[in-house]
Amino acid sequence: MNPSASTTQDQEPTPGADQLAAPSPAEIDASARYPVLLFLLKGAGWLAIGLLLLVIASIKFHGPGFLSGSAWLGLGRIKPAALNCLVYGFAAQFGFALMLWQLCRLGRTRLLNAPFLFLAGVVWNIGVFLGVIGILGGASTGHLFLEMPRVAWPFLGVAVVLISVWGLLTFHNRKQHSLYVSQWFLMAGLFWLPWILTAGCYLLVFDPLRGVVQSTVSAWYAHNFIFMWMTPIGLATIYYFVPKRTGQPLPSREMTALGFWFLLLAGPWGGMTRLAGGPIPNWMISTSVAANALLLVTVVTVAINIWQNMEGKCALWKDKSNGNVGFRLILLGTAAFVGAGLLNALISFRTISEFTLFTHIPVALDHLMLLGFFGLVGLGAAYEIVPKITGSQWPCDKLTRWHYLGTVYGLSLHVVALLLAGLIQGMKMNNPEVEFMSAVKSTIPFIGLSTIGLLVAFLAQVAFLWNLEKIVFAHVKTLVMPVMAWMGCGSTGNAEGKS
Amino acid sequence: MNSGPLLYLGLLLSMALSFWGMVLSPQMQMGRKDVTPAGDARQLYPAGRMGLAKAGADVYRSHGCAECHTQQVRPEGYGSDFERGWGVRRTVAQDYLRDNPVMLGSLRMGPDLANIGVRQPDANWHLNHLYHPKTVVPTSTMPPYAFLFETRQITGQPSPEALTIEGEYAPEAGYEVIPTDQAWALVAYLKSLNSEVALFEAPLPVEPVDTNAPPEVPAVPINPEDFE
Repeated sequence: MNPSASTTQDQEPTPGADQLAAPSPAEIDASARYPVLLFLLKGAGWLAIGLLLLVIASIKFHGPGFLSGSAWLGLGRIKPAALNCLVYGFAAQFGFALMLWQLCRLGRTRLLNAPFLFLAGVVWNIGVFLGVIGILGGASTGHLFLEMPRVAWPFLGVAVVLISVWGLLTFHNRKQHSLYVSQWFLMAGLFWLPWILTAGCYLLVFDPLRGVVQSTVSAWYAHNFIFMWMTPIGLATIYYFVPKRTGQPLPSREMTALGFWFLLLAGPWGGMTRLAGGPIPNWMISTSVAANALLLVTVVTVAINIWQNMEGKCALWKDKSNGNVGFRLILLGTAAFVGAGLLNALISFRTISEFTLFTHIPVALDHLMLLGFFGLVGLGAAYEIVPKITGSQWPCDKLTRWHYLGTVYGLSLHVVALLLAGLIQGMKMNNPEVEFMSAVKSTIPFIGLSTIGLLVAFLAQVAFLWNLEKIVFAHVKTLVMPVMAWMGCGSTGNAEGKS
Repeated sequence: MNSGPLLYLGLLLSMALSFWGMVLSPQMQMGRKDVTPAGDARQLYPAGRMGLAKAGADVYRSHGCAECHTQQVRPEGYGSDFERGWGVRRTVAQDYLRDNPVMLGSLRMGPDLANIGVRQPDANWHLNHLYHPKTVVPTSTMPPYAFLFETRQITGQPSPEALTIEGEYAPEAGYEVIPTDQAWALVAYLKSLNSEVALFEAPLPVEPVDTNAPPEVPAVPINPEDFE
């Protein structure tokens, strides 16, 4: 175990064989500024759009007549469109931002080829836009997590290859050679996304397999996206920011390594519980149940690591000032991960999945991973990263406050309401004496609660977006003003500055 | 674990293993399945959809019906699919051989549709249900798909295709509701959904057969003295 590697990484480089001429943190941040800002800004935008679409879809569950006049806003189109906004618009892009920034910071090296990465970001966004419009227009492929039509995938493919290649080269170019735990997880995500994206896309969208193998591949893809892309990136972020804030190293590097290897071992195998009792071979479902149970090792190591790391540092959690919002969001995201991991193992078992399958509970689990875990960790990290790379503080304390409260309470209400809805639905649906429609109707009050939660979370994201736009445009202005002044447009520039 | 190579090796191994296990193996096991003679008439099953029903599968996919409806019957004793009458046997891989995309679905906000063609073969019922679900199922929570229909003024004779709707969802006087091609296609697809065919791996349940034969007469041992 290398002691220098397990300490927090933001200290001044100490001279040693490990460190060659490393750039300062400020230089590193400056090199990563534009791609990372683009990914965060666009990701936050897609998060807001996705939540808005989810609100509409949720309202349609209890008010079927709502916006039912147009095929573009049909429930069966809004729901996958919302999911794709959240998955490819938000989770993927926040993941890119977190991954690139941490690879630079932990490797003490500049981001290579930032202009190309910025371009990749633009291409990625074009792809997501085309895909979401395609789904709303009725061109969905009908495969879970891969609903976007053919036209979108080449954009996403090119972008993800560019990002992964330059991310990998940045990693190779690192000046700090010993690896910190976060880097293992980042590399797992970096390798996994291009791999599953190209494989899933080829096998389902471009040259579709025949029969139910389609369903198993799409379950494999969806599970891998959540557990082998979002999870490693999110865990890397947790392991980066929490020890840094508490000022003490993670309690055990060995335990973290154990969690990492169990993630690699069990993470990719768990998807088939989505099809329990379905028309697929039983061994696949059994394998997935075992894998989801094994994944508990990773969940427990995360819980113990962060718990021990926080020991004696409760004051940090209780600090409710605005400067601490990012840290608190990351801790809540960690709690969501632990909860989601337990739930994932629990509803895998056949005796339980008999009741939970086809209800809102698997949906709640997906949302807990996507918004509760990755969403909170990503947003928390954004609160830490954006001031560093722009060099200015968050402009509006009130917006920060509203965003924090709205996101946390809104999403909690949403997930808890969906879980309760699913529980009642499952109990009633599996009792043949109860009429089917009564099982569906009993979920409706809870879906109503979840609509309220989603609406609150959506409004909170609008506040966040507003705050983020302010900080970004203030930064853009500092770039544009000297150029304007130099070009002799000083008067126009001043007028803008005053307004 | 400080070296990059070990990390790369672990990652590649894990990716290769999981791909082999969860993608390649099922493809090797199920990918070569082909149509098979099945049922009483020993016709090839599944027959595949033609014409309107095939177009209807596209409408089903495009409107995302699978977001709320599943198309899979779970085995007897696992869930209550049997008791609800959603199928007489579980669905198996063979049933989906000709579907592209396969839309098993993952949420049941509406009933399972794997055998809706058997349960509800009436096209008019389906058309009314799509136009406004509450016209035929008063407790329904399904959104109306009225945009699959055209409401137009009656000129001359009313169209024979027009829906017969009464009560609060009826069109204004002098207007009629005509299904579009999409609605016809979707209904044809729904009517084609039927997996109640006996397969080797999923036989239909055997019920005691009533042949109307007279009750069996108990055999009486022959007594030679009777013939004397």
